[in-house]
Amino acid sequence: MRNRLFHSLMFAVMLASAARLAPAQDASSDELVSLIVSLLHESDKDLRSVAFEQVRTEAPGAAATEKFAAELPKLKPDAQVGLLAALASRGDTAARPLVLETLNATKEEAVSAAAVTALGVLGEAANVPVLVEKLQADAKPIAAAARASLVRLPGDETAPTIVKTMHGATPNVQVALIEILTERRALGAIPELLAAADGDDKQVRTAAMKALGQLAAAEHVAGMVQGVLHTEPGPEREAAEKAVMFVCQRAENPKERAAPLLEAIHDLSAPDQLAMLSTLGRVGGDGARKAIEAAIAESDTHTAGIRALCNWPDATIANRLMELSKSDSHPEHRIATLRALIRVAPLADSRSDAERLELLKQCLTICTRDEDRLLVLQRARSIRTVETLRFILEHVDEPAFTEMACETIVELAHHRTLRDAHKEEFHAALDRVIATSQDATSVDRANRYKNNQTWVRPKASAN
Amino acid sequence: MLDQAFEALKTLDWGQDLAPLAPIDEAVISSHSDESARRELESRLAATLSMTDSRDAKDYVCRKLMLIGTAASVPALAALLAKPENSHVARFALERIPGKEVNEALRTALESVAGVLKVGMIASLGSRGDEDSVPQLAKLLGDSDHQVACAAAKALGAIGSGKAAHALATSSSEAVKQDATNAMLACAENLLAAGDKANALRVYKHFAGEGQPKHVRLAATRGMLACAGKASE
Amino acid sequence: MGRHPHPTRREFIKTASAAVAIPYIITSTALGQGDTPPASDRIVMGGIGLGNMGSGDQDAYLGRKDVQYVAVSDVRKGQLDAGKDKADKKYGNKDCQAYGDFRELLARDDIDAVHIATPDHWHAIMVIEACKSGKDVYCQKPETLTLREGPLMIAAARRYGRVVSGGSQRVLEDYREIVDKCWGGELGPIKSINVNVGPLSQMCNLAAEDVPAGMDWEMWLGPAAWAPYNSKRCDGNFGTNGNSWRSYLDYSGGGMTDWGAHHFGGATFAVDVRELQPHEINFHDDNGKQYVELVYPNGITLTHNKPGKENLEVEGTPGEKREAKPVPSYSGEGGIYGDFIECVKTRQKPFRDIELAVNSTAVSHLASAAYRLQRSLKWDSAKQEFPGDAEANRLLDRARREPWQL
Repeated sequence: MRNRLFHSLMFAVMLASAARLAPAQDASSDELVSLIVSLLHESDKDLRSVAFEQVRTEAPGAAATEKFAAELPKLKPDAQVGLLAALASRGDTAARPLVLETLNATKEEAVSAAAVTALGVLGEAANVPVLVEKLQADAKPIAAAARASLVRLPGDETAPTIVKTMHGATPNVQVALIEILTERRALGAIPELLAAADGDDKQVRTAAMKALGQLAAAEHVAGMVQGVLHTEPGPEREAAEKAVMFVCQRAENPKERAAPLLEAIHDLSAPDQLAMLSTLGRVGGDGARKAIEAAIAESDTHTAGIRALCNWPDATIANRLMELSKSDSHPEHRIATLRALIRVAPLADSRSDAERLELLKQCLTICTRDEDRLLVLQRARSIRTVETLRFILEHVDEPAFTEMACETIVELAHHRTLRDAHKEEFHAALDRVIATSQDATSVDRANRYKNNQTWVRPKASAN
Repeated sequence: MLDQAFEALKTLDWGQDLAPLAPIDEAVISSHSDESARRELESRLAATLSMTDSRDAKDYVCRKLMLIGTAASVPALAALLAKPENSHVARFALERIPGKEVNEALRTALESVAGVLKVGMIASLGSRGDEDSVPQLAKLLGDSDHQVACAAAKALGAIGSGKAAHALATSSSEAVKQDATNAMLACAENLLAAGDKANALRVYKHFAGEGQPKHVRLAATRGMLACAGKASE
Repeated sequence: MGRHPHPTRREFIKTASAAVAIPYIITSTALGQGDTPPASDRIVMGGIGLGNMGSGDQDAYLGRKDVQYVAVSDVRKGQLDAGKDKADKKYGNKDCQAYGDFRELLARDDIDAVHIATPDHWHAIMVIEACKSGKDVYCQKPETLTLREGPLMIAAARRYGRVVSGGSQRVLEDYREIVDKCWGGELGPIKSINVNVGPLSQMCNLAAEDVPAGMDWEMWLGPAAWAPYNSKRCDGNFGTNGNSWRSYLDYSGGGMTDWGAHHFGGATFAVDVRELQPHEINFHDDNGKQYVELVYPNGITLTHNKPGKENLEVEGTPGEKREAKPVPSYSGEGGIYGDFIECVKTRQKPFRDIELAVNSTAVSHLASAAYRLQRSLKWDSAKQEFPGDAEANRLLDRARREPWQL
């Protein structure tokens, strides 16, 4: 069957002639550009692809770029999409005017999205408004392309222009722009983000605090504290507290992590100081501990102190949690501190694996509820030793704990070096999983590990 | 220690521990800056080839001669080229030893072996880029053994010279078409890179016409565009 | 393997009558149902090597609505049959064709793309042959076994304009935090990054065992030196401690290349030297603790197993700001597999384009060369040789067993 690839031998002849006749030192590369331009108009998709390859890398210079871009209005939509992508890869801003013209002229969604994407590479700060407009497009591919382009749009003035655009924008757009500024790591936007974190709109506040969590430094903690105090109790407050925690955790010396936070809350009113206790607990460190213990010691601040202590980021307060879990006068405090203890017990630190496991075993002896015992069996998988396996095996046959125990066994077996070092014990344990578990995934994993195969942790399907 | 290692080497067989041979491995590395020690080691290794019937031992020796062999080892290695069990490991060493003596040995063997062993000689000559083997390889493009003909085409592509391209262009064997096409396109790339645009273009024009698979015609198009681009540099 | 001018698959489908030789065309799924694209818009794929990694790759492609999976090839009958069954179950037919010899699969004109997950000693030959046959390729990492293979694979891909993607999903997905810090400018200008990985592969002298039924041992060995069958020699598990082909020199570079493809890939991506190759490989031996420094032409240093350094530990320039750069990512949807398929459709270069993959695996090979020779080396990436170093240049490649050839 004849196809139209070389609707012409003519084209081949043209190519050959051009290559033969072009003067050896012709800097304009006119012949090559003309050939590429003619290929752009080929009806055969594969042949056009060859032209796009050439546009990406060959015939350098703005003059050639302009000639390629000038073909945009003359091409059919699918060829426009290809050429826009090729021009973006070429990276020459000389194509920008034609890209904008194409964006304005087209009614095709795919062409719009391609033009918006190309603008992200070829554009400048002046193109922020059009990209923000496209960010709000109904067509998802266009909106997604605009978001990506605002993240990568070059130029020193781009981030400040995005910040200016935030004023007067709808909350949804403000949130998107805050996320974009975060991805750009626009440190210059921090003052605006602090202001947004103290604003009236909850979703904007939440986005701003999240952004600050990633961008801010110790000197911004005082401002972020105002943001925390401005939040509604519940998920918004928790997220804001975590944002402060992320900033404090970036301090090089772990013992000084709480210093900027303590300084920030020093002059607050008593109720505000109390409200910030929970955040202090998340950050940890000596200063925070002192403030929290003082609160625990007072009856009217006792509960807030306990809650703060339960947020602690490491196992340094394990003994204290153990003590409170046994002795606190409030039953709910005993449960909360026990669960906090189970959470921190296996965290990796200077303690040996055996010490961490021993602490977890002690937790089990204190538990009075099955849900807490289940948490112990779940947390044990963080301690990757054969002793953990032996500990878990003791609970496989207890009906309330079978599935959790089996899940932890396969999690431990997932680690090949551990499994291979204790092959027989693991094989026997995996056999018990296969015989006992009703969970298809646990059984499948057990079979795989026994056969020395891998198991890939499922991710959300994107297809 | 080295003496014991050489003694152990003579009876090496699969399933045995390689630890007793460690002194030889160490000598290969440590002789880097001691030419006379390295030549003595080479000589002992080459001599071992005729002192053992063990296939595994010959395999081991050839792996070491790959690293330190010189023209002095070529006769001992060349003696293995016609032996089906040892031909590959001999090339394993020879292919990486510098010098015309290796090319001559491979070209000589090429005339005396057949089938897959011939393919092996051809492959090694191609890998070494032996321009002097082009006339022999050109003749093999029409060989009745399909594998030999295809190997010759590939080797000519690896050599990549104008002469190689010319030899490929004169081949009309349908059986080697895909390999010959690829080899010619590779030659054209070399020709263009070396500034011989006219001959590169001749190759590309040949493959741009109807009657070629689409991906080949597209490759030729790229080539012709590259020629056009070359003119403007 | 001779070829004749054929219409492309898509043209063929548009014009073919029902009585055609390619089985999948007559299946109902090929006509497109619901939100499944019609066959003419789908990428027709086959898989070569269906063991541990290959079966996972097959699952990923088989699960895509924009892929029609039509053929499998493996040297183990059990794996071959399992791969065919999986595809047949997915489509509710018996149309997936099974080949013991990958060349038969590549000879099919209706196949657009293949995924390759054989042991490493096969990768270069298969990738080059696939490109010669006009196929796009997704090849598992480490893509190369020797330094010479890389440029030849790139040349084949570029010659035919093929989309050739390497297969390390971890490069982008596992090290995102450090990548974001580097590309985001948080660490200032980057000075160095360390990778901890190993070991190097070793010679294999395992005893002969009976070749099991259904195993084509000659084909498994392929271009590698002949050796007797032993189950550990060819086991596809991920270990490198002697119980798998990943442990042995003829088939793998060991952990150095196997996990190295991920770690070096992630490290070179993080510090943005993916498009370069080192020009100095400095070997150090500090009281028996050996490590290597690979220096790039732009001054960035990549260390391997440097004492006291964590894996992917970056040394930046504290206090010096650097502009954030947009982080390159996958195209399309569905991770690295989706990236490949999207690029097959758009003809753009994938995230782990073969050239970047080759640069990444070259780091493993260059470091390995320094360890094997126990000394420092220079590397000329343009000429792809160790300049003036005849001894080191012997390590660039190795002769392939007849009848295999690059």
